[in-house]
Amino acid sequence: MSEAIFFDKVTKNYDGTTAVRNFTMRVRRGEIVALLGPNGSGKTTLMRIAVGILRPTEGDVYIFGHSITREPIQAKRYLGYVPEDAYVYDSLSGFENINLIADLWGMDLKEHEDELMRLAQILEMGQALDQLVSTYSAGMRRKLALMMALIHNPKLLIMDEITANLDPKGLASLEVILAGLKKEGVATLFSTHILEVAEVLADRIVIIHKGRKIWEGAPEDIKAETAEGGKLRDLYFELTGGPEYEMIIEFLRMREKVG
Amino acid sequence: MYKIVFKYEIKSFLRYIREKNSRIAGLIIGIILIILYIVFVYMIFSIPIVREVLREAKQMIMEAMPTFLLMIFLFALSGGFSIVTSVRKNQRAKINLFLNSPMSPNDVFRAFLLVNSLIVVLFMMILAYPALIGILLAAGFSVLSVFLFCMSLLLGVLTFASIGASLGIFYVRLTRKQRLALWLPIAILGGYIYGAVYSFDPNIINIFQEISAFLSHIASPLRWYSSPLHLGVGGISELLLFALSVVFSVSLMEGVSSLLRRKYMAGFIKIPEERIKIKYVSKKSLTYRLFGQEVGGLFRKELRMVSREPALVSSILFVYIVYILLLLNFAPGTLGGAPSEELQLANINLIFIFASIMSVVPPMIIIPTTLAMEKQNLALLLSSPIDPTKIVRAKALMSDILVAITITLLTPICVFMLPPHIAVVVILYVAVLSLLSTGLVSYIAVRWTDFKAENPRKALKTTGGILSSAIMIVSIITSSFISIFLVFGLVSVMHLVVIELIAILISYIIRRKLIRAAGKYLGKIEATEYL
Repeated sequence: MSEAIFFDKVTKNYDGTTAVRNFTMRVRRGEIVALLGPNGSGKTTLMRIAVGILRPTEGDVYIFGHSITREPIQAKRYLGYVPEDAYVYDSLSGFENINLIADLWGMDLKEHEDELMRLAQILEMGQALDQLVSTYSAGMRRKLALMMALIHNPKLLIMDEITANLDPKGLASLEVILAGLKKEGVATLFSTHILEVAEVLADRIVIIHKGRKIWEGAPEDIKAETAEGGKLRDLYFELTGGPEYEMIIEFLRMREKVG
Repeated sequence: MYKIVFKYEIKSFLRYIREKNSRIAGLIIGIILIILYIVFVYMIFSIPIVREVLREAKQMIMEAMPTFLLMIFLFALSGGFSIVTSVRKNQRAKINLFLNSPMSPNDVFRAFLLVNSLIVVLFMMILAYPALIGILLAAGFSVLSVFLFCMSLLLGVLTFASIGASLGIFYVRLTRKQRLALWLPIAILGGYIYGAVYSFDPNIINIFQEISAFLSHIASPLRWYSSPLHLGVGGISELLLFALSVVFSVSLMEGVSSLLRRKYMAGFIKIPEERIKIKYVSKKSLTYRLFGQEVGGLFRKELRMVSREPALVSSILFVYIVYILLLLNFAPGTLGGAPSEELQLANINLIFIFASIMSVVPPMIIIPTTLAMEKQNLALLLSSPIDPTKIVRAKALMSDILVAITITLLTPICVFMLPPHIAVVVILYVAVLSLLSTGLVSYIAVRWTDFKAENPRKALKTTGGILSSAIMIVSIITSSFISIFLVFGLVSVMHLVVIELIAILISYIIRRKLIRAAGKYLGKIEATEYL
C-alpha cells in the first residue's frame, strides 16, 4: 500500500456551518505534505477527523486502507499525532506519559529504552522526563507530545502547527527527524502558518481556504503558478487574499492624526 | 475597576447561559424555585405558633449565633481556598489581562478577590438569607438589627473567603507528599468531628458548649459580627462592636489582597518541581497480567492521577471515616457481650443502610471525577488504537478498589455486630450493589459529564446528578426492605443468599453491558465536547 492517508470527499458541518467541504487528498508513504490556509480554513478540523476524534459529516478518511470511521482501531495503529496544544497529563511525569502511550500501543518500553533516551537527548528532554508535566514550559510540553507521537514508530505522522512553541534548535532537530522518518517511508502531514517552513520541509503543499482545497503542488511548481514567478507567499496571498494595504495605511494615518 | 471586572464576569456568565437552551431553562427553573422558596419561608414564618416558638428562642439565637457564624465562615474559607487551588485556575490569564492595562495592580487584585469571593458565596447566600431573615424577624428582632446583621454576615463571608484564598496561595506551592501530609490529618479530624457530633455523645456536646461560650466572648470577632442582634439590649456598645467588625473585615481583606499582589508579582504562586523515579513496567506486572496491557496501563494512570489529587483522596477518606464512626457510635450493644435480639435487629437495619451507601458512593465519586479530569486529554486516548470501553473499564476498576476497601472494613464490623449468616447476606449485598452502581454510574458519567467543567468534582450535569442520587435512594430503600424481610422472617437467610448469588451474576452481566454502552458512547463523543 503506497497510500498512507486518503481523504475521500470529506465534509464536516458544525451546527449549520461548513468547516470542510468535499475535501479529497492523498499522502503517499515517505511523503511530507504541508497543509496551509488562513485561520479557520479547516486545517485542524481535517487533522482531527484524520485521527478519529471528529466524525466527518460526509466522506471518509482511509489510513493505510483502513477507514477511520469503520475500522478506527486498525487505522489508529499507524498514527502518531502531535496537536497544536499538547495533550499530556499534568499530574504524571514525562516518562509516565510516554509509558501510557507504550501501553496503549501494546509495546514494551524497556525494549525501546535506548531509542527513548536518544530522542530525549535530541529534544533536550533528558533531564525533564522524571518531572511532573505541570512544571513544564509550553515548549517542553510540545516536545513531550512529539516524543509520545514518535515512540511507537508510527507510519503516518500528523502534526498540527508544526512550529508551535518550538525554539529554533527544537525546530532544527525536528527537521532532521522528519528527514530521517521520510527515508524510513513514514508519511508526514503537517499544518503551519510559516510559509518558509512549508517550502523547506514539504514535498507537496496543499492550500485550503474556507474548507475547500484551492491549490495543490510541489514547491517547485509555485514559480509557474504565480504571475510574477514569485514565491509561495505571493501565491498564498493571491489565492486566499493578502493584507489590506490600503486599510493599514488609512489606520496608520488615523493614529498619526490622533497622536 | 470593580465595575469593569463585574461587567466582565456577568457577561461571561450570561454568555455561558445563552450557549444552550437547557442552561436557560435551568436558570428559569432555578429562579422559580428561589421564588417558591421565599414564598414558602414567608408562609412558614407567618404561622403564629412558629413565631411564638421563635420569640421564646430569641435569647438562644443571640447566644448561638457566633457558633453558627463560625460554620458559615468556615464554608466561605474553604470556598475562597478552592478559588486559588482548583476551581478558577484560568484566573491567571484574566488577571494578567488586567495587569497589562494601565490600572493599579492593587485595584486589580482587590477587585478579583471581591468578585471571586462573591461568586463563591452567592449560592450559599441565596439559600441562607431568606430563611435567616425570616427566622430573625419572626423571633422579634428589629428590621434595623436584621438589616445590619445581614450586612455584617456578607462582610464576614467575604472576609473569610479572602482568607481562604490567601491560604490557597501557599498551598499551591506544596509538593504532592506535603499536600497529602496536610490533607490526611484534616480528613481524619474532620471525619472524626463530623461522626462525633452526630453520635450525640454527651462529652462531645459539653466540649461544643464550651467552644460556643468561648466564641460568644466579647473579644471574639465572631461576637462582633453578631452584634447587630444585640442592639436592642446593648445599644451604643453593640454599635461599636459592629464598627469593630467592619474595621476587622476591611483590614483583613486589604491585607490579603496586598499579600496576593506581592506574592503574584514576585512569581511566588507556582507549582514546585518534583522528580518521580523513572521505572519501566515489566510485562509480568500484576496489573498487566490481571487486566491486559491496555487496561492495566490506563488503570495505573488512574491510580497515579487520583493518588496525586490530595483533595480527592481526602474527600473519599472523609466519607469512610464518617460512616465507620457513625456505624460504631450508633450501633447499639456491639462489642461488649452478646447483644439482645432487638439490638441485633436494629444493627442489621443500620449496617444494611451504611453498607449500601458505602457501595454506591465510591463509583459516584471516582468515575465522573476521573472522567472530567481527562479534559482535552480525551483526544489523546480517543486517537489511540484502543476500544473506548477500556477507558471506562479502567475507571470502573479504580472504583472497585474502594469497594474492596469497603468490604474489607465491613467484614470485621459485620462479624462483631451480626450473626455470621447475616454478615454473609450483607457482604453479598455490597457486592451486588457495587457491581450495579458501578455499571450505572459509568454510563451516567459518560453520558452526562461536562468535560470542560472547571472543577472536575462538580462536572456531572444536572440530569446525571439526579440519576446518581436516584441510585443512592433506591439502594437505601432496597436495603431497608431486605432488613425488614430479615427482621420479620419473610425470607430465610438461605434463600436470600441464593438470590444474592444469582443477583451477583446478573449484576456482573449488566455492569459489563453498561460499561460497553458507556464506551460506545464515549467513542462517539466529538472533540468539540472536550477541546
